[in-house]
Amino acid sequence: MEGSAAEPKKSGGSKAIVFLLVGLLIGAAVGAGIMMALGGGEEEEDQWYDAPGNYLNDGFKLELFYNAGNVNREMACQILKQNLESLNPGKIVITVTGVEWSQYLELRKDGAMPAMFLGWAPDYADPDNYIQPFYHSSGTYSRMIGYQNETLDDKIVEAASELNVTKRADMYEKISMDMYSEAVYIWTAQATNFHAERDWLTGYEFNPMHSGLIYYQFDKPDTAPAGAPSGYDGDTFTMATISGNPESLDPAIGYETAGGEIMQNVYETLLFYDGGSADELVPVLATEVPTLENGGISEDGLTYIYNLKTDVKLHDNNTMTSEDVRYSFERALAINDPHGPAWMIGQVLIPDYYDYDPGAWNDTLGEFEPGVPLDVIADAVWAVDEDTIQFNLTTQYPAFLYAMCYNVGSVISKAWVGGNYGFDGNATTVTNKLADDMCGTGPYTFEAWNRNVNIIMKAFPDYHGGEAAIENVIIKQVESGTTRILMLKNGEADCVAVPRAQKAEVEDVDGIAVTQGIGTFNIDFLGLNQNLNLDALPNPENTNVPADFFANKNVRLAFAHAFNYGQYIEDGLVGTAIQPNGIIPMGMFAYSADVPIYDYNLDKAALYLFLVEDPNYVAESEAANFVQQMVARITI
Amino acid sequence: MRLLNYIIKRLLLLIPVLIGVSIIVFSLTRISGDPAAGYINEKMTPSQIEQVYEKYHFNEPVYQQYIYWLKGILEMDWGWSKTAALPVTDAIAVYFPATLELTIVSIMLAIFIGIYLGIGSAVKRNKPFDHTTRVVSLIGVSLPIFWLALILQFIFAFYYDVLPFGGRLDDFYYIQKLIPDITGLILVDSLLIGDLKMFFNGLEHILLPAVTLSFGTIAIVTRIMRNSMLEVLSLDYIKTARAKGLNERSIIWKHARKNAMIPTTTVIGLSFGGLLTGAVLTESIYQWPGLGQWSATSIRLFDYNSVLGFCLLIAVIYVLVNLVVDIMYAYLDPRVRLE
Repeated sequence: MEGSAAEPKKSGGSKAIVFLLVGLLIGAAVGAGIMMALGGGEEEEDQWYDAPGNYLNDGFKLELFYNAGNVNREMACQILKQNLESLNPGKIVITVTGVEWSQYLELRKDGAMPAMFLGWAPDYADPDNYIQPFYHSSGTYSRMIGYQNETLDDKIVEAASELNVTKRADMYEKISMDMYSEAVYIWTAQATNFHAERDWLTGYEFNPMHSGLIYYQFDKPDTAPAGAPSGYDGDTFTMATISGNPESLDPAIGYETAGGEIMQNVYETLLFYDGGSADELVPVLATEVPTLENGGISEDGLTYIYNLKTDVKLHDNNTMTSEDVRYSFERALAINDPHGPAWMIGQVLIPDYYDYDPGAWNDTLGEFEPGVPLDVIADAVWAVDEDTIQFNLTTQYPAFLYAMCYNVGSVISKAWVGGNYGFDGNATTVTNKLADDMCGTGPYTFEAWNRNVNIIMKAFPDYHGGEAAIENVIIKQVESGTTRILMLKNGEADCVAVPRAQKAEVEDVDGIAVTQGIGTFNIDFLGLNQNLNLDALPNPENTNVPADFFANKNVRLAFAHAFNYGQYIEDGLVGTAIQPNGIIPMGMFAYSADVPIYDYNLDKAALYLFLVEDPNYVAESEAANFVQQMVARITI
Repeated sequence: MRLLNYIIKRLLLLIPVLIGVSIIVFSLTRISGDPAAGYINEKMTPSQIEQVYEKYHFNEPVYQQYIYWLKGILEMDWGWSKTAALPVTDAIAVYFPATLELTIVSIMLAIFIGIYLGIGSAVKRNKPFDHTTRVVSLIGVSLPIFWLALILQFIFAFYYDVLPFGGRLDDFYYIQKLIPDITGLILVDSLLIGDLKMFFNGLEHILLPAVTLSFGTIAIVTRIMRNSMLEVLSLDYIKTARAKGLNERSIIWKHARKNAMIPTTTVIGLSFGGLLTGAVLTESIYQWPGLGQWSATSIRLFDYNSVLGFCLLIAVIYVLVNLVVDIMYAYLDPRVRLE
């Protein structure tokens, strides 16, 4: 994996060739100069590679935007600018402009941004969660960049519903291959993990699908080990993290990682990822993972049956039944928060799911009005008996098992929630009990959330998997990265969030254990807008390309090869990333190492800009020769 | 009675001030970019974004948005603070006590140390004591606060490990849920429930941030106090007092000090108001959960409800602080008439 991340440098051999060519050309130029001075030779002008009518020779003007303050995005723009402009200085002009976040959003909304920075973190570990939003014509991002491909749409839908795992993986590999040559997006980086903890802590295992840490994994010695501070407490796990409050602790609403981390420790889903694996699932509240073989999944792939564990205690001391499970799903779909995660289950459980509104507090009735009607939900989620729950899908969707592992599939105590799904309100304010209180089945109970100070959890003595090794968990918000690092070095915290730029300060330090370099599932992209809204450009004088500039495949490929991936990852991301070969991150199901990465190669970039009009302009056999001449041309 | 009238009059003046402030700040939040930006993230679809605009009336004329907001303010519905994940009014109730406590402690430090040093260096003018305080004051006003905070933290929390890194109390008090919720001022609450251990723990925690914050104020108070003290000491009534044979101690501490306090009071009042608005850097380095962190994060996240609520609060604080300063004038200088 390191190899793929390394910057493809020009070899010594090709440098020599360039040198030779430069020499020859200087010689030729001097010769030509003499000839011209003598009134002869004008042959050079007819050289085919000087032909006009392409972006390389005619040049173009384009303005790239980033949101001011985001140094990585700024750097990516500068890399593109520098490299593209070097292809034909003076003719190719790229302007890089930083704009405020609100203006950035405005430009994006208006379709006036030629290259958009996009980042994607998975909701569930399935390629469909990546392919659909970015490649399907109805996907959020495909629409944003104006990409439409009906043949591809069919393939996406087909792959998403294929039940045979091997066939399915092949289908995704085929899509990835096809999309490599399309270069709809430039895949700039797949972040790798960086985790620093005190070495007395044991049990950490990285999983790209976890939102932060799973405290149940951890243990630490009861008595102070060497190097521990005077206040060492073997019963308490202390984490110092960045500042920023969770948006909500409600699993039907929360859709970010700060709250997600708390939820995944206090609530549980029917199944969850096995240890560090993003592929293998293990039963948590269910007794086994439903499969076609054990009858948990029906032959047609539309019915999923989970048998539930019978001895699971909820944090309010009730015993969990299928009704708690059913109710938790009903609640998520009834609330149907459009900014929340309900779509993950709604899209496959509810017919015409996207036609339903969000649920809302109705003040006249004094009750909560469900978004998806209860009778529709009742068709989708059944409590078969006390220990069995059944889901009826509207379409075959093997990723369903994984989608259910997201926090939206958390099981909540129905008795504790009370009426109206925990909502209450009057004319001006509506409150949601679950926004800052929790009652689930997890190894930790939620104790307190002190805004901007800490969040506190306690081991649940009756946890069905056995009581957690560490009794107290305290997640402290510490804004200053320097302070967090000092706290780790001092042993004030067992684990801290280390800013990537400061990672060298904790590497090779006595008493600190670092885990790094494992791929996360976070992928950064540059989306190339195929339908640029020229009327909404803030500085029209900086752009002279047509609206469909990026609809041309060769232009996109030119940009893909003009990006210096190695430089971006080393300098911008301090080496904590690898270059992805497509939309499916390494480590995920259906990732294929056979799909190539775009190499940083300005010759290719120049070639593609030249071939803008007609990709077949140069026959395959002539290509090598062509590239060499391009190299010579560029070096001048 | 005259004092009461004066206070009422000044409080009534608060209304136009608040209306003016709110109009200015509200307009600014609408000029500085799309107010919906704080509610939109990169994962939203265009229809979801549309819903945001409708829900918060962002697609209506600005004056109408202002009226909606003003109505909310009057009904004590100040909107939702995304940053705090609480209603704005609750958020203020959560963050304000922490800032108030820190401000009071650091202003007390500034007053006691600053006035003492100021008088001392005026009396010992051009002697070593004076030169030393001058240099220290210069350093005090010149040191960047984030640097000072980090250095103090490094020395006392990391290197010598005698003071905590930050926060208001040890984790122990949070885990055991021992913190009373009476005034929100931990130093006061712990005394009210008679927990001296908690009081001293709170004192340990507030020491570094308070010293950091007061450093600059001490410097200013010292210099102002020194100058006005020198001025007063050269006045005729001091000469008279000396001629009458009063001892130097009572001349300085009784006769001169009170008059020299007048300009100093203004400075202290303004510093107090300034500190109450929260000290972003000090708070973030010492994890002090006050207004500074909240307001700075709100601005960064385009959380305009919080920004507006915060600005209103600050306007009220400044008006009240100025009122108190004016009343103090009348006490210090009987020639000042409050009208």
